[in-house]
Amino acid sequence: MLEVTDIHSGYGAVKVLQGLSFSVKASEILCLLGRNGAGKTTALKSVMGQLPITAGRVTFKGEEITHMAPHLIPRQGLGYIPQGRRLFAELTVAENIEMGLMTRKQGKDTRDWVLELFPRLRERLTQMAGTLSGGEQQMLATARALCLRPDVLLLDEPTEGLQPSMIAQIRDVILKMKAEGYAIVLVEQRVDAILALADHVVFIENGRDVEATTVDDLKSTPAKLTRYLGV
Amino acid sequence: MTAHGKSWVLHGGVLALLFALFFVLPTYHSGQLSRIMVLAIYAMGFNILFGYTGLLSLGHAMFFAAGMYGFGLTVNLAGFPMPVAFLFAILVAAALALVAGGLALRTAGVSFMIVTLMFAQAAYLVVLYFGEYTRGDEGFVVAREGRMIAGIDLSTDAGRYFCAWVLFGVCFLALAKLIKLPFGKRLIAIRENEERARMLGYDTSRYKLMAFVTSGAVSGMAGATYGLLFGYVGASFAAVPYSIFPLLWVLLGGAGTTIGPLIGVFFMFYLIDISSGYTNAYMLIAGLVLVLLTLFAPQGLAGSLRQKVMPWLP
Repeated sequence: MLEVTDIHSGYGAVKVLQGLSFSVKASEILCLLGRNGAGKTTALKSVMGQLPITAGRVTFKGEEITHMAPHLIPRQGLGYIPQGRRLFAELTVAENIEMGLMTRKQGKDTRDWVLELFPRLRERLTQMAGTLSGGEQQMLATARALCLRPDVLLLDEPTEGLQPSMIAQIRDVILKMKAEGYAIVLVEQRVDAILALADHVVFIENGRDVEATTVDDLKSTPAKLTRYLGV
Repeated sequence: MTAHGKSWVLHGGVLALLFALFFVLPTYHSGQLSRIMVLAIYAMGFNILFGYTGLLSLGHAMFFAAGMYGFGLTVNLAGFPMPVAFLFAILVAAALALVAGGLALRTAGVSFMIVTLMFAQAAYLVVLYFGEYTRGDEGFVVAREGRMIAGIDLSTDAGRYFCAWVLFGVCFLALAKLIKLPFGKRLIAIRENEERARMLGYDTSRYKLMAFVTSGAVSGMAGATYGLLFGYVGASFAAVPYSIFPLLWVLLGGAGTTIGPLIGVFFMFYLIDISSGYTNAYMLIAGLVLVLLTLFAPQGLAGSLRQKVMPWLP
């Protein structure tokens, strides 16, 4: 569904990605793994058009989106939840959700669906997003991205800084998404989360993919985690 | 009562109060209030761009002046009837905003401020350069026939006050409605986090330009109204201070609030009016009060109210 082939990208003169490839299919969770600074977040930002890709290509459902205008990429069906949530703090929970619904003209069905996934948000609809707890903010960021009804969801450390009960809820939703046929690209640091959620992993070093494998393989050869992540 | 209901009661109450004040205030103060309402329209226009979209322009005087000259020159030189001249003036300001915004929005942050400031300076110099028509610094008086509508003389105290009240009311209610529309929500989303808005599929460049043009058109309408009601058009309205005033008014009243611009203009006007009655160094007092307000009410007066006691304040 989403195919990234040999992309090069970075921040101005600083080249971060230097030939990264990965792909993800429907009903599959792919985890990008690597040490800090390896280029995991840069990879997601480059796919979403936030950073210019200087070489290589990105295709989505067979169509090239490498140099598409950034605001058009989500409209194709790619949802992105960045690190740090980044909500519209001065809008209410309901208005944040509405912002997600409008671009792909989703209606009440989608709104009800995301509120079923995150019932806690229903109780907070009139509350300003900036006043929510960290876990609730993550729920809202996820709900807002799901309002686009994307086919592929890119998640950058969705459980970072959350308490265990919230982490469990977020993980449940990710697994539900997978069961409903979503393709998910996950950047995650927590090994337990990776082993519990992912189907495939791609190890990244210095902006390149150095090994692609399955989680089952990773479970049987944990030395790979030590080798690539130092854990 | 819902937040929505409270908001409309507040807006209706403010308009009713302003209407009633004409009958109880002495002529001097009702005249001041007419001017305050016109300049509050200007501040509301500025607030669309600064308060709601998060873009700080330092060149809004060019739109105010475009409206003012667009009205005054077409009445005096082309003999346009008042309503036509008024609409023409708004269109001139909107067109200028489209061009200036199209170029200035290619930049961001400090560069955006400087580009808008330079545009305004260029507009000011154009006014001076074409002094044969604009009468430069001296300015000109708008012909009396251009200040009449349906037999009502808008140069009288009552005519001026109620015309200012109607136009202020239209803008005040329209702005309250605008921010509740999807367009308004998108502007707030851009202010809060432009990158996120783009990642939800919004063409933020287009919305910023739309905000710029709307802001310029409303500011131009304020300029045209000033020329219409006070009968004077001058280059001082195109100069730098008139780009800074709306920023001060909006910051004082509360950026991103519908009532903030009116409060800010009112506060500044009466602060200077009252302090100048006591001392020649009234700007020193104004400056001191501004510093204190910035320290103790950094969100502005309406912004602080919203933060502390009226969370529903739009």
